[in-house]
Amino acid sequence: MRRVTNGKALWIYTAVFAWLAAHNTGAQTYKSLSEYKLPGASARGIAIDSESRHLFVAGDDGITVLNADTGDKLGSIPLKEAQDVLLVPVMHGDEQVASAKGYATGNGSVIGFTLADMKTTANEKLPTTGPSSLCYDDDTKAVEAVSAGGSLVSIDSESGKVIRSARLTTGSGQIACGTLGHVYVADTSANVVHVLNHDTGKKDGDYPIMTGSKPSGLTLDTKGRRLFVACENGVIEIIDTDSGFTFIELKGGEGAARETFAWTPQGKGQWKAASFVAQQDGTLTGVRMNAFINYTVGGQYKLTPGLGSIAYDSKTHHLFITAMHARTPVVIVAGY
Amino acid sequence: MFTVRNSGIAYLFAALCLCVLPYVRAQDGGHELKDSQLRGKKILMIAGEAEKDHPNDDLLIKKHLEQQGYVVTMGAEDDEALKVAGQDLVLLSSTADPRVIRDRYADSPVPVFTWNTVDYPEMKMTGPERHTDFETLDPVQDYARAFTMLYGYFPNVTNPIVRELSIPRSQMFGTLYLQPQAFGWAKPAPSANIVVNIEGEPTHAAVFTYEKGATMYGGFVAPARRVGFYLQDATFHYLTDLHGDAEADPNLAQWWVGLKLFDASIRWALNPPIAPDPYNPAALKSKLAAAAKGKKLLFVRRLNTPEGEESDDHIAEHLKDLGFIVTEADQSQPDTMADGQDVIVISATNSKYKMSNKYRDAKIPILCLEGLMADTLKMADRHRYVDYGEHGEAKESEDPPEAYLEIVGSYHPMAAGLKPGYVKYIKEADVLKWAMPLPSATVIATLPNSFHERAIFGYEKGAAMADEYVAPARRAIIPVDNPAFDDLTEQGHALFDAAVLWTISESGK
Repeated sequence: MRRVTNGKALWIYTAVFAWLAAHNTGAQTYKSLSEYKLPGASARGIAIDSESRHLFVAGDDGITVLNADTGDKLGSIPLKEAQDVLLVPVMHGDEQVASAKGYATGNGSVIGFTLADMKTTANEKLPTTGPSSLCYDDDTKAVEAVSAGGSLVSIDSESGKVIRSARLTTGSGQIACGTLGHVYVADTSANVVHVLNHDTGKKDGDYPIMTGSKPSGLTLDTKGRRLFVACENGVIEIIDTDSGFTFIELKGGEGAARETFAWTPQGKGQWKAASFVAQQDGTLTGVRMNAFINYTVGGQYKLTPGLGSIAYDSKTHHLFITAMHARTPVVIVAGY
Repeated sequence: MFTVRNSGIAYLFAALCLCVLPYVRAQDGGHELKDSQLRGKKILMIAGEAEKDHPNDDLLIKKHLEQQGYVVTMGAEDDEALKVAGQDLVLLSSTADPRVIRDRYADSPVPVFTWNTVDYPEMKMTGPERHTDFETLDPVQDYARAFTMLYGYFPNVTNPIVRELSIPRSQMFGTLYLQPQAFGWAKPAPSANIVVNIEGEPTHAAVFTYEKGATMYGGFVAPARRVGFYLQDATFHYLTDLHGDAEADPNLAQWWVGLKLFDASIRWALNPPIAPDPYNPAALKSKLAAAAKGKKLLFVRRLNTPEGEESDDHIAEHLKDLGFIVTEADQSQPDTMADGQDVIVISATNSKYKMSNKYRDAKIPILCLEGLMADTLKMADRHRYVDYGEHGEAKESEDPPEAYLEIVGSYHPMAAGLKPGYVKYIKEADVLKWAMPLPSATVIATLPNSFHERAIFGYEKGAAMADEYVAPARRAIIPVDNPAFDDLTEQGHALFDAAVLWTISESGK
């Protein structure tokens, strides 16, 4: 038997091993695992309670509640033309446990509901009409409702009562709650991200979009310092929220976008964190965090055209994405 | 077919075109053109070809400039220099091969703004030696230092480019976004104005400028304004900037100014250069007399001294002739003698040791005739024969006596309109003092063959001097060792008068 003592051969072994290691840890090919049918004619916002395995989908028919593992319908919460749905996170130490309350927007109102019995517990009218979105500020324990018609409303997540309300320029894109009272709003038509402040009810400023155009998808890392902005022209910009500076631009899919952020989205030993971007053209893009200042496209996966909102399930590491399939609203379960 | 190969012809064309530029007299190089006047200015950007695996920011820069109303034309590295004709500014990108562009823009009468660091020597903006005169840093090869480059330092807030950024004092700032970045720096000639330095090295310039008429490396005189900037191929999009609520925080607004610095540097390059008055000692004396009339001048000297008394008397007489109301004070008298005065002139007959730190804090301008006092007055650091020293003093200097100075800042009013190069300053070779001021000083003259020995220089009011001491008013030094005043040549007298005039003039003029 010939022993390898040659440095060149050793180098080849090392290189092959490095290539395998790099490709093994990096690549998770997402694909459609199953599809859940929804009632009504449209599907918009989506949220999942990983603990109770309940999936909440906003649509023209109200909030539909599904079993996240089977797709079986568990019930519904009446709300005409529901736009968005949010579950108030509950923490037990560092562990997130089952949510007890949720909020949804639709028909110019915000409603509160209980997860256990799906009963409406609050109903507040928004000052302006138009599509509206929700985000949760963990610092103030408030739900922020942004209406594309031009208003920002803060609601006490416990009581469901309006704390503050302000009229100001918003946008029709996705929103995200940050730290220090910030609410980020993608203004698709103005081509900026507004930085609103729910403490003051005023706009703190705008983040310009660099080479992207028509920002519609938006998500924030849960530390509040990296804002992922997906534009309809296929550019994903990552903004450092301390300075409002776009420090990375990546290539995404095309069309209206929605996003979600997750730490270790494939479990330990894989990606540190990622923003998942679902876009109208059917592209699911995984923006992978290599380091807190370094991001690359970890993968791009063609699902079905017409992708809508997206939610991440921390139990199964699956993604739940609303979509239209043969003119019927569905939830696509994507995994690897 | 006739091909123009001679860059001289090209520059003749360009010079003719430049004649139509509005020419203003702006002694401090302040921006004279409004934004509306800058719009439509023509910029030629010389860049290399984009490579598939090595993206660069050239087109992004072009787009950025066009958004500000400039008309940008792209040029190739092997274009004939003729192409500069009709342009208002030439940009040399680091993507252009410096071995191809070489020195073809060195003679350009059109201002040049370059981030082609390796081409700096060919542009005569630095010496030739990599790692000594200039350096490019790679974020992989030089990982740790590449992080250091994220922190720039404004040594001189009185610089017209820095003034535009409303930086209140000498301080650090973020050059590029928080990742190790490619970077270029240089050690320019004494006449350069260092806008930004890095790594705690005063002479490691990340951004520097030469005024038209400034003496660059090897005695080459800048035919138009020149700017060196720290960018590299693909770092423009990392130039710091801020948006949103961060804009309202003054500390952050003064920190993330990389893009604003780039824009301000472009505007400075596009503005008309300083147009010095021509050399005319009589006219200069008249101008000084007009400015001096009725001004109270404190002349600090060593009274009743066996040496230099006659020379000091003649200085006092000259100042009185000009129209100053001169009060003479002995070196031993307290510095409250300056109360109520308009300007102080400190003679070289004074003993540095006996003078102590007097007049350092005076809120009025000071002209010091003794280079050795540069440290006590905070005009230089404290290493003798490094930060200050002398030529020709027996037993104290290994340098021989000298009669000449080299004018390196001919554009500056303190140069009295003298041309760049050697000028006979005193009739016979004798003692000449020098100092090494901080980068915030403007250097007018050096001692011949002694790059770092600066004979005439000045600090603008507000400039950070040694130990970050902020100049309370203008400060200047010109070497008039005793009894040299009586030995000054005609040019020497003109330089003396020009130094007095600049010192008493309003800041910014």
